[in-house]
Amino acid sequence: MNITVWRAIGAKPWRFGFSRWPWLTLFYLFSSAMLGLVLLPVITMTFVFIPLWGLAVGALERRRVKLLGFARIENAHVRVGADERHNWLNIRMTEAATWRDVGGLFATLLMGWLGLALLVVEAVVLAAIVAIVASATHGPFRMNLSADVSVEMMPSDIWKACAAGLIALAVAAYVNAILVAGQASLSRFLLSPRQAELERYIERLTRSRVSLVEAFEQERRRIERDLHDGVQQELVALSVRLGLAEIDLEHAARSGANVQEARQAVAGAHDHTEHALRSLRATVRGIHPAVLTDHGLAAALQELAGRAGLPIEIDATLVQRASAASEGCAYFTVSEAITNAVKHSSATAIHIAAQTTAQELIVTVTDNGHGGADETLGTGIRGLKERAETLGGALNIDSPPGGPTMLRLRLPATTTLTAIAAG
Amino acid sequence: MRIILAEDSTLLRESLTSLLEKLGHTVIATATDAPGLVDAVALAAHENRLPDLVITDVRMPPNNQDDGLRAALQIRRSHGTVPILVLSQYVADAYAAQLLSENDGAVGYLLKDRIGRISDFSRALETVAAGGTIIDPEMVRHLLARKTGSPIDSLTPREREVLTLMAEGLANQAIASQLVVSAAAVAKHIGNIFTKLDLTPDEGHRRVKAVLLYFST
Repeated sequence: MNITVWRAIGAKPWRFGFSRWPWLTLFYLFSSAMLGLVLLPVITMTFVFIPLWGLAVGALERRRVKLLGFARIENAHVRVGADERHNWLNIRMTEAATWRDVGGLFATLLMGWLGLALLVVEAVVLAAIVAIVASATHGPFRMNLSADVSVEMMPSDIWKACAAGLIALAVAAYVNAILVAGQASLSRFLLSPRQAELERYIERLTRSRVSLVEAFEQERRRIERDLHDGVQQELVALSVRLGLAEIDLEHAARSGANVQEARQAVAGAHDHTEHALRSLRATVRGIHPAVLTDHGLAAALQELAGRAGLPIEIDATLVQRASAASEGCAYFTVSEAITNAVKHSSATAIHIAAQTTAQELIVTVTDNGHGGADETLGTGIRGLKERAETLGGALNIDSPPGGPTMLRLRLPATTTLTAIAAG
Repeated sequence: MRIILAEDSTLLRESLTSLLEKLGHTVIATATDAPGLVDAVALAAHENRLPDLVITDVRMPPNNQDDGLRAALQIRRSHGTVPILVLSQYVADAYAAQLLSENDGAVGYLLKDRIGRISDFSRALETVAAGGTIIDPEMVRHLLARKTGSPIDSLTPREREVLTLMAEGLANQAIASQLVVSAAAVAKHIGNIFTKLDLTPDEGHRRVKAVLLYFST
């Protein structure tokens, strides 16, 4: 493990003096000063971008402390994946770490200018001593420091000036080291990740993910209800009107009117209306099956099996009602599994078993197809896997080449947030 | 016919009322929710003038679930065999099973889509009012696709077709004309169906029982 600048300062003075630390700290101080020099005008001109400058300088400072023997400061920001890059700014702006980075930016600025001032003072003092020594070697020397303070030197006194120079160097080395060590420690304090903050963040994230899934479920139910109670009723009413028109036309035809074309037109419109009703029903079923809400998973799986077009055996005698989110997830997982079994593994029969225990809803779907299903294929399954994991469950697929494919879904029976937090 | 109608959608309630009146029936009361329907029937029963037919939507307030169906079951329990036609927005065996398992005839379960086919709808009204059973053709297809390992499996495709049409409440003559076969052939198919489903002539309501068999297996 590297020794840090603080340890070096605490070491014996001659060891410190002849180590690399005075030079290292001087370099650090110099870089701080340059940074301060550059940042001040930049920040003043572009103050709206201060958070961005905070992030950039924070990233630099996290690395710069390595010069002083500290480990690189861990990134305090959450990782932003490639697929959410467009949200980068939003994510960063909501993080407390970003605002601490801004604090770090001002610390860097302040320390930079402090360092700059220190360097100037040191340079002036050293230059003065060097000038005095150099002049004194040529004979007696007198220098007016101010109106009534003056330095007078004899060549024999040179050693005094040299000693003063050495002391000034040593003082400068310590002052530099302490200043940069202080700066590095401040950076470490401001820029490090906060464990408690991370934990709170994760907890908040977990909660919001679960409530999101639940909100989706509610939203789907609302859409289903709106479609059934809105558009569908309108279409039925339309179909009734068309039916009545057909009857009227029939009466007209009986009394001898020529209504052949009108009858055809109305019949065509009627067919269209019925087609619209059929496709609306199919769409609504894909959004959220009403029977799932009213009668639970067992009944909804029976419905699903009835439309599958291949024999499906369902063993769901031990299924109790579970949370709406879990039931929805189970239903759509089975639906996807059936579709995949038919489409990809040429299955001719499917067995579905579902049961609830005190805590869990467990569903397995087994088909007699040729297996070899890859769960990384099909975005449908991947999405459902994520949905199950969000709810605190798991979805596993076992599909050896040659079959059979078995899909196993485990979900909490109740998706209360406390259950998630405990799990 | 004197009809009590329960439907929460104003649009549909009015369309249905005018349709029923055009077909020559009288809508003696309308209800907009399940308790309203139960009350309306109770009131009619109190005046000793039970309706000839109750038409109800499945999904109605207050819970917006199968309240209409529950009201129908309650009416049957309180007032005996009042003919009831249930209109649903979706195919759901669970609803139909609930309705049909407790009753012996005089019930119907139709998708709302069918109302527009007025002659079929009118016939369905008559069938249910006369004590028959009507199940939506789509439901029947659904049930036939689902049931495996039951006596229904042993039916030939033609016999299934006949059974489907029976479920829709068609008489032998109507089945014959729809399948373009003779009435005698239909009678023979029906006989085979009864035999395969193990329904003996002394059981009465054999047609209804054959249809109900979907739900019991």
